Amino acid sequence: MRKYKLALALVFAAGPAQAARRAPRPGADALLLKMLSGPATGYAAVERVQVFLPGRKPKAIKVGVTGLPGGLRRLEVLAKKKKAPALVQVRGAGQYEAPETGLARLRALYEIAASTGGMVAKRRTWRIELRLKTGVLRRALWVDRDSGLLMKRETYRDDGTLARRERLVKLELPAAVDPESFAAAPAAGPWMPDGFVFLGESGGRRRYSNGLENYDIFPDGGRLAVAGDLAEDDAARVLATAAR
Amino acid sequence: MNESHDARLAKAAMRSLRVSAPESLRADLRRLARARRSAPSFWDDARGFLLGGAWEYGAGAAFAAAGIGIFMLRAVPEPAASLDAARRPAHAAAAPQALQDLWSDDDGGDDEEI
Repeated sequence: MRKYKLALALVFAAGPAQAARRAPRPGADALLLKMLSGPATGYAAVERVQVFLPGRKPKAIKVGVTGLPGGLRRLEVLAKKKKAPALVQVRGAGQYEAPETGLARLRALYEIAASTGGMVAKRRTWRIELRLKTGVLRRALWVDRDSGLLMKRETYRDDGTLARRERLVKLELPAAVDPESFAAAPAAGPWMPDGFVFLGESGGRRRYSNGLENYDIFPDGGRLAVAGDLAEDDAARVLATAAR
Repeated sequence: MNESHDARLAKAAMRSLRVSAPESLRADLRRLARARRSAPSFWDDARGFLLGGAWEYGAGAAFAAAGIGIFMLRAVPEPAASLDAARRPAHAAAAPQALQDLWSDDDGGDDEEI
């Protein structure tokens, strides 16, 4: 009988000891820096991108993503019922931005808070909320606790409705990735969000689109301006590189 | 329907009063029955409004059509979402079909596997 009591006491004593070993939540800035730096190893993933337009059916694409340390990424938009990708983009080459610069931009635009996230693609995550200074929740990010990889991102409209969701649905990390597959020529012109392409220029107005969402770069009172379907941080990054 | 009912009532009253009522009252009832028969019905008014050749009817129809048009234009939803509607481009040209075709209908769910 005494042995049982001793065993029970050990079990109860082990609980708090186990909890104490749980990793503390890092600060929001540290999490964002880790996310902006990207994983320290190669990885391969499948991403699902969903766009929610008001009054219309949700639309989605599937994207094959491979990445290397240093922020290099290769995106392959997988076409419906076709084996070959319909669109290939190599991101990061010639578009490098120091993680500290990205963090400063987010800090300037948003109030940032970190909390515990759920499981995404079988990985434990931290959740980061980006709110405009007005209090409007613009983005929610789910960041892999171990590698800092951005696992999921949701973007919301001013009225709180979901505008866009990007989520890794399969992930191999670390993964052997062929560096040769990133050998594409660096894309000229301003930085573009993933999936967007340059459509053309008309009357000094440059138009970009991903098929569902659009934005323009245009001269406005002697300066360049950006307008369209972009969150504030993406619009600021486009504008910062618009003169290219 | 009310007018024919009233006319029947007037006829019935006439029949019942034909013998006993004074001539002046009978004359009043006859005038009333004639007035009821000659008053244009709602359907006559509507037919006149729709088919009548007077210029007022044409102007009225044009005004109504303009009102319906304005209502329809206001009821058509925005072509796409904008995170910042105030900064949305004035001209929202459609993206090329090849780009649009990359997207397929989705259930909107937040599932782990696809």
